[in-house]
Amino acid sequence: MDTLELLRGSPFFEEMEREHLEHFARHARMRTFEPGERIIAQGDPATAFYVLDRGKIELSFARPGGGTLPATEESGSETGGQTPPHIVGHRGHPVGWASIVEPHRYRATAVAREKTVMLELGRGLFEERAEERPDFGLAFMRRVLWLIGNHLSTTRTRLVAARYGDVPRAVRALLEHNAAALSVASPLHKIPHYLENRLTLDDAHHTLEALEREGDRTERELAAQITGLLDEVWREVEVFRRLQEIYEIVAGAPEGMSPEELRRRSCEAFARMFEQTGYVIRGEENLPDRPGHIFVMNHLSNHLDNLLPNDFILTLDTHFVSSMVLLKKYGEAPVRVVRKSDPGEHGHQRFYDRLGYIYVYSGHVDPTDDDPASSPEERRRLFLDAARRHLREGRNIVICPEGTSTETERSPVPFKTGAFHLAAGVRPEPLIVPIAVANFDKKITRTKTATVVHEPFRISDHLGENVGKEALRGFVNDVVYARFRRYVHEAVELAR
Amino acid sequence: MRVVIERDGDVGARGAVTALDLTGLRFFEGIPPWALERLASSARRVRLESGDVVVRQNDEARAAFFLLSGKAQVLVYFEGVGDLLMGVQRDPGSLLAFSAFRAPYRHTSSVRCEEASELLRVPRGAFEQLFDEDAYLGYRILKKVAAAMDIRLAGALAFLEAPANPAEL
Repeated sequence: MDTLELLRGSPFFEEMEREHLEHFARHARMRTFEPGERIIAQGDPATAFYVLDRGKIELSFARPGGGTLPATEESGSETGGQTPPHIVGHRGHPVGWASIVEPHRYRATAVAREKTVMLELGRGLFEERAEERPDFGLAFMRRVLWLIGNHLSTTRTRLVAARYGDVPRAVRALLEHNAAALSVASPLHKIPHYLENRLTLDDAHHTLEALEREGDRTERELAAQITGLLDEVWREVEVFRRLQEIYEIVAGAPEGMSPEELRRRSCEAFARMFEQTGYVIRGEENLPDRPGHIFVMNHLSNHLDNLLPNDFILTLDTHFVSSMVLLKKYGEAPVRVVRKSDPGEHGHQRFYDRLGYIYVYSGHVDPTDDDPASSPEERRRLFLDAARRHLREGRNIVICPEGTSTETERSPVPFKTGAFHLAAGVRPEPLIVPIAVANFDKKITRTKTATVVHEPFRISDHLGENVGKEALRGFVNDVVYARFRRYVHEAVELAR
Repeated sequence: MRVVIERDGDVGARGAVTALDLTGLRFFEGIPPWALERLASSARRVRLESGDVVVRQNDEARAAFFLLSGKAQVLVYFEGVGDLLMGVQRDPGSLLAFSAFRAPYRHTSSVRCEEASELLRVPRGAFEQLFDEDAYLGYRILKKVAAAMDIRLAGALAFLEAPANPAEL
């Protein structure tokens, strides 16, 4: 009975007569797939048609001749010549229509994203039924044409969305193409407007979900097509939600929670978010075996999509290095050097005050009388004392020596020398570990980021002990900065 | 732009078609002679010039078109974007416009000749009559249409991945 209900509720089968559905229900079988298990593989002989009963599947399509990078543990989800996967979780969703159509080769790969139950109908079932009952065969093939036509329509609309980066426009086009069949009072007309603003994306999501369940036939079909089109938008919504959660993990943490614990929790939450993005990490073999070193990296601007409602933006590049490289290697989150919040930057302050990071002061921060950093000399001493303490206690420190951020294409800008002075003045002398990053200033859901760890060095190896200010400045400008320009260029190439 | 067939039915040179002509086209392989005779009696051969529009998006699909020779572009119009070239059809015998087989029988794309081409036009009604008389034959013919749509879909997917190279359909 469950099987019959599943077929009756599937958009693909909903117009077919009950006697045919009962026939298939008797001859089909339920199959359970574990998370990560492949259901069908693109290019394989297509022997069965599936209907999703429970769970979620990930559909992906490998580009012809694609695949410049091997899929490795270091590679995110967008490597290896695959399109970003399309996640399907609607009960009744049909998969594997290529089993019905010559040359009977699956067009896509479907993998269970969680424990998933699918109804499997062998190809022969349909062919035998069509021979026995030609009226069924004709109606069935009309339904197959409907299904392929929908895929074609969605693919074309995705093409427009991808080419112009304008999803609302693509959705408008899809509605326009179906204007003759769609009621003027349909809530679908609201969708392009909802998509214009990030704060109403959830409304678009809920409206589409409701219409897929309860809309009229045209609305259900279009809602399903638009939902498929909005994979990237939903991923953006998901990233934004996770950023909000990370902020609350830190800013809303109980008063007594230690900075170490908060750093760890925040980095773990970031790691979960970054695992869902496309990324490449190289050079992890260059990481020192033990912590207690200075990691210098170029710093990329923040994409405005990551702006939280309190006007605070969580930087992604430094959190990526902290969570995906250093936390994973050393089991503890590093201490970062961040600028002191400007007056009125409450969101910035609420976040960073809790993490026990080392502050540096930008020129326009006006310390109050009760601020211990009441003079530049005092601020500098506080910075060095705090940083040395962390290094001696075996903590890693992440510093962006540019003192600002910029776009990947302009990165790096010239370095300030504070991080290198720090390294030169601590004993035992820490290693300086260069890390180059690329593309964290782009939409994180639509790009592939690259992070490359380079060979560490000690200042004393180049300049000896008791290095002077001028010599250090020359070394940073002429050697380290020049190397970093090459490093960032290589990271950009790696991300291509 | 000259819209040749669907809108201005008298434009374009036309010629009669025989069942033998259809036999040579892959789409019609395996179709019984009586059905080929029926389809051929309704079909017309059409010669078109470069730039001629075969069907226009959103117009009623009153016939199916097959490419006999030449080259045809598949274009999809998007509001605010214009006509996007989705691919080029050049295989003799290939189905150019399949909306005559699929409700709501409206063309989902435009087709325009990229060079002088010869097409075969078969009215939708001729197919529908066959389907009424022999549903299993209808099933087999629609399987061929599905295969043609699948190729079109594969082309669109490839184009989505490499938009600089419109798909060879």
